[in-house]
Amino acid sequence: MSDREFSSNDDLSLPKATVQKIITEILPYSSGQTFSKDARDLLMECCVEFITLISSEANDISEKEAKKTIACEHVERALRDLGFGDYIPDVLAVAEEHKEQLKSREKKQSKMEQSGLSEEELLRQQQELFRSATEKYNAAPE
Amino acid sequence: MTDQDNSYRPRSPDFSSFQSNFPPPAATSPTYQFNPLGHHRSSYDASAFFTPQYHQRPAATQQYVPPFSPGYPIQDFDMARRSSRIARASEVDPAPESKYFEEHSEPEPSEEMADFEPEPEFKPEPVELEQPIKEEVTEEVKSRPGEGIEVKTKFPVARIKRIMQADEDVGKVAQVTPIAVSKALELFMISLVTKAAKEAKDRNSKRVTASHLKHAVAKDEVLDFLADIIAKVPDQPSRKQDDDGSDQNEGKRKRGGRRPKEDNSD
Repeated sequence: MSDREFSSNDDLSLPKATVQKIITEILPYSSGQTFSKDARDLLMECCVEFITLISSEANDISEKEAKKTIACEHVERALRDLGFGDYIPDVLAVAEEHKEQLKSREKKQSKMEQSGLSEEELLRQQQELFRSATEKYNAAPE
Repeated sequence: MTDQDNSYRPRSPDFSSFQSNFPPPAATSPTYQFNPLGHHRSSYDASAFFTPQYHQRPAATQQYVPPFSPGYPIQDFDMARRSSRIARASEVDPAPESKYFEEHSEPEPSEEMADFEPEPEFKPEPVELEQPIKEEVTEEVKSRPGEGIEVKTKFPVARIKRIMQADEDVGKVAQVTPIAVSKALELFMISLVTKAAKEAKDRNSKRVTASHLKHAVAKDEVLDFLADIIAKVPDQPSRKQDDDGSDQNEGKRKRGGRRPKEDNSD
């Protein structure tokens, strides 16, 4: 928490190292082109402005719908309205991926509940397994 | 290529059947008169886009020549249309598709109607068939620049959320939203960097500078929202000339001239 307060100014820009990494992924050394530092700083400013633009547009859209939370569909419509409609398929794909990850996580947590058996029943089954295992073990050497 | 062409053709059989049905009007008009009552039903049951309508339309255009035939007083005709529409609405209400059908098949609730308004309905059909194909093509073309380059490095989602909420007006944000925004940002960055790199290439510079980025942004109307940020960047025509010259000199100059600024910002 204290970190956040300290670097509150810096927080409102993107991490330089990450931006630089992404730039070199887009423009690898093999391309023969390098991205100057002043260009990178300008790019970072542009990126922050982009986020601000999208989120304020999405915010307006969500407010018009009288919704308190900005959802993915608001971002989608903001992108379309602002002329970035060609980003939408990829953005939706990522959002979908995330949703499915969340689902699978939830499933893992509730696996015991999903079995539909009471704790006693599960314990009995476990004891059963132990018994059969020891029987197998005893039977094997002979 | 030829294989593809051959395999592609059979996919649009509707048109071929449609054209072959066009010339013989005598064959199509009888079907018309046979089912004046069963007509609505049949048009619901069969898909609206296929043969039943194509059968009717050519016949209709043929009958179009006497537009106000004395046989149909217009008032009756309006009544018939309304009553049939109401009847239809009540008939098909539970089905969600009914609205769709009403819009599209409005001119032909009865066979008399088809005589008068065949053509306006005729045109939208081919357009509807073609449009999806066109959209797919343009989408592919557009999404290529983003998909061609895969960025493995991801932005920190928490940071993006914080930047989003730096705007006081922005309230709560769903959990997925910053993730969606960061993907959009990634695509945005790819497009900016590639555009700036192209700008540099056009000027024979191996080094992409802020002014290249500025020029790239200025060219695109969609990026107008960056105008204020770009305005800060000096145009520096003299440096651009240097860029066109030798890279080594320019590199040294950058190092000498730019350092103090960056140190400050760091």
